[in-house]
Amino acid sequence: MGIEWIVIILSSAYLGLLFIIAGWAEKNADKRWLSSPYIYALSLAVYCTAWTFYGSVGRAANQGLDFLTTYMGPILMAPLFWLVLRKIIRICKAQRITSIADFISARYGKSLFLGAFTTVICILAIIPYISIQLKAISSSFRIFNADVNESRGLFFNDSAFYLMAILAVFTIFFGSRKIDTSQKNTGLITVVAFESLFKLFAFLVLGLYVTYGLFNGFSDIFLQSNELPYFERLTTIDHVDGYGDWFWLNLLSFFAIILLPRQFHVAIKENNSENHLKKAIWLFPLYLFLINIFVLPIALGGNLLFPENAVDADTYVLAMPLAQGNTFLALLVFLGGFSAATSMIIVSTSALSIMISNNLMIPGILRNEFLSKRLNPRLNKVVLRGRQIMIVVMLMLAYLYFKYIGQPFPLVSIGLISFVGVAQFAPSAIGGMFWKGGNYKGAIASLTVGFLIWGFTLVLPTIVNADLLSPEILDKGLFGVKWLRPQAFLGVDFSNNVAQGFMWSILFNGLAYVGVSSLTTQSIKETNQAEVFVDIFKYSTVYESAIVWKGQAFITDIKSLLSMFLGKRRTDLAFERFSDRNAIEQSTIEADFRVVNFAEKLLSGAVGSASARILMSSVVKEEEIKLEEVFNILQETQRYITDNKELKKKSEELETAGVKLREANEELTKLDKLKDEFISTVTHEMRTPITSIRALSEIINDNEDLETAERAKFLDTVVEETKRMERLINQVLDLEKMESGKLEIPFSTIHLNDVVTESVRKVKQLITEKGIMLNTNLHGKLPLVKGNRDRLVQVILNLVSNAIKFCDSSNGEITITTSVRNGSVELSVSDNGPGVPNDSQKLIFEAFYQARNQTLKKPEGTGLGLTICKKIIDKHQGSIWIENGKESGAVVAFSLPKLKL
Amino acid sequence: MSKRAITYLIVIFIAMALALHYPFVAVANKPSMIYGLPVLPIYLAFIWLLMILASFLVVRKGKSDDSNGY
Repeated sequence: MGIEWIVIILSSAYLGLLFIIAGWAEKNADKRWLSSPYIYALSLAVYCTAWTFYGSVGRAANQGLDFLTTYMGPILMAPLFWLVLRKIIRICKAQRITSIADFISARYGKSLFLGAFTTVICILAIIPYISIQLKAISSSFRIFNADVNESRGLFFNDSAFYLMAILAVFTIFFGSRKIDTSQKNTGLITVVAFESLFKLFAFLVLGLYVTYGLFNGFSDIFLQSNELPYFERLTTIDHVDGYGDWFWLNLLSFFAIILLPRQFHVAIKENNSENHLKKAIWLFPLYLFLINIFVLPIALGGNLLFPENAVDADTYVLAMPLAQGNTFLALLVFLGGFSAATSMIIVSTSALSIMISNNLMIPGILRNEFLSKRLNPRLNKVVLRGRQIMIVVMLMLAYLYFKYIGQPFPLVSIGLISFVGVAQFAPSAIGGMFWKGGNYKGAIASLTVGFLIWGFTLVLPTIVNADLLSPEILDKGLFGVKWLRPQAFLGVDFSNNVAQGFMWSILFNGLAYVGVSSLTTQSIKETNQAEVFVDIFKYSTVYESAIVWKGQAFITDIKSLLSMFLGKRRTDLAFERFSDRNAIEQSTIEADFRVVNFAEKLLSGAVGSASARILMSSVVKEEEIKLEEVFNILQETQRYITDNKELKKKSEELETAGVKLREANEELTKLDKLKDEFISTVTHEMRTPITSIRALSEIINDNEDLETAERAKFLDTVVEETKRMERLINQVLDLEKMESGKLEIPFSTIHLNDVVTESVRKVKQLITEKGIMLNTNLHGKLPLVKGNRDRLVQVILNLVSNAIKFCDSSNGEITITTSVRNGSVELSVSDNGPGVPNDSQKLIFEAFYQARNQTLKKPEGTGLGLTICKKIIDKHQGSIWIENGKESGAVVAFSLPKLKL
Repeated sequence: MSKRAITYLIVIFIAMALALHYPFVAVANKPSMIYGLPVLPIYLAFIWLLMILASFLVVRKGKSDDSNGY
């Protein structure tokens, strides 16, 4: 079996693999990594075609560093991705724009003519570009089989034809699955990313093989080739013409990276998230760096190995391993080139097919009465089939171009001519995105002028070269006018035709755009679109309200139009969501301008903006709008946005205020409840003595013959009870004063030990009577505190009397301790009673706690003592707490801040 | 991305555009060799890598910012 069969089997297997990957990715489209920023950055590398793979080396071997200009532009654009690409992405998402032709047409009032014109330029520029991919593959086939002569014969003998057929099937399968082009083609993008990785891998392996296998590293190649007579020319920029060419060619690829239909397709149409750009900003230049690093070494190595142009430099990458008998590597490289070519062909044809269907086919059908009558009811099928047919037609044209016209050119020149073609969109597309003044007439002028100069300076010479025109025009100029020679336009003769052609076309193009736009006026629809395009970040969230529309439309009509393209289910769902979001009644019959704009946007995803415009105007009755209205509505929209922001802020403030209010209310309710409880407890506490006073008084009153001793005992009790009431009332008043803040407690500098001594003196009597032992454990160097002596005595007396109440009845012991802890002065009173249950330790300071807890033995006292103590200590900025002693009993302690000296 | 990060990216673009064109590129546009390698390709590769590194750092720093605004 000959090697050519291995090549054929391998390439078929490779294509099979692509089908498998795409099918798998399409099924697993919800997997997260399939829509990751890495896949996105890799898909951008569809920029590197077979032209990069074979042509870069060829160009480097013949012209030197010139080959780098194709990559300098994109890496210069990379830092601007966030500024430029993101804006395009945002605009395209808001308006469901999916191609460069739609973009330009939409910007200038959804013009049919501009869309069609742009599409035609794209076809003319890209078909030859696709054809050089076929050429690259076909000539790499031939390297493996030198016996086969150029197959000028019948197509079924030609490998390129079969390749084209397979790619057509692939693109139809994975590039035009859905009618709504704003949906993502995960399968296609995954394949493109895979191919990007594969071609990089193949090229790096070859580069390492040449640099370190055939030679001894970079410096070896450069030192050896230093001997070549043209070495200096290959490693420097020419001092006379070089800088100019360098600049213009860099600028050319700077535009191409955004405007090429396939780049627009992967970078904008298939973009999942603007944030992916952040990775692409550095990852894409890194990719380009890696794929270029070995180009010069391979080119120079090839020049050394094949002196005297023995081998076409475009095929060095294959010829070098083959000459060394390394067939395996040659096959890998072949597949690398193959992958570069196929990914470009797949993406370009699917991008072109959408452009053609949106801007040529559908408008053509809609405008033709005969066709539109017959095809209108199944327009959706027509659109999808049309796109698929277009894919076949594009590939067919590319094949024919390759077969009959493109043969004599090196890969690079045709690629660059295509670049110049699409670069003509730069003023109207990029300019229109940043300058509101650019208008329809300016765009027409710009594209026409650019297109004509491009055709004259660059395309015409290729036609002459293909022997389709006499070379007379190149030498003598158009109509024999010397300065109208294509390759020396206006008498200026560059060394590089492409640089020259690009310079003239883009200069006149830009001038025409600015000049004509400034001299003419915009239509109203255009003004509106210009406003939305340039200020997209203002409008993208309220897009539907930013497009001015006046007229009459019915929702049912709009819905039935949409369902034709999107299906009934999706249409209903989309409408439901939109109505929800914009608070539109479901039952509304007449559509307002937001609905119309929304529907037109949805439709744009399927048929392009210009066609969507026509379709919509067939179901709605539009009225003329005045310019002032456009501005009024736009202003309103903007005001709506700012108002909205303010409203949001206000409502947030309100919400926090509401939360605070609720909290305050809860606090108040709680206090209110406490107050109620307090009153009921106080009255309850007072009723007990009053009842007993009344009962005793009645007994004394009713029984005049009561014995004197008995009477005296009763009267004693009455007096006791009255005292108890008086104490209670005093304490309630005290507490009330403290709570309302009316009670002024004068502070002085005091020593807590003195206060303890004074208090002990006062209770000594009582304690001795009860047979309780009182210990004091006073700190020797207790710092001074600020406080009110009398009030603190009151606290200590209260604590001690509590201790007396609760301590062991037979063997009572109370200890008063003062100490210093954490910069505070602490005093504790401990007893050897039953202690306090843990869950009551905090509650015990609340008023009438013991009264409410009937399980406790009803002790003497009012139940306000500890509450008052807490209030007093609070006034001293101290704290009071209760805990259980280490062995038994309770410890009530308070701490006061140490006096700062 | 923050406004500051975007400004940095624009600065990177301007610096690169200057460094890669006349007259600045002429500094390295000489037929001489350095460590056995021609000067101009080394210069271009250096600028290229520098730009990748600079944008990587800028983008990474601006990661936590929100996605609205310019």
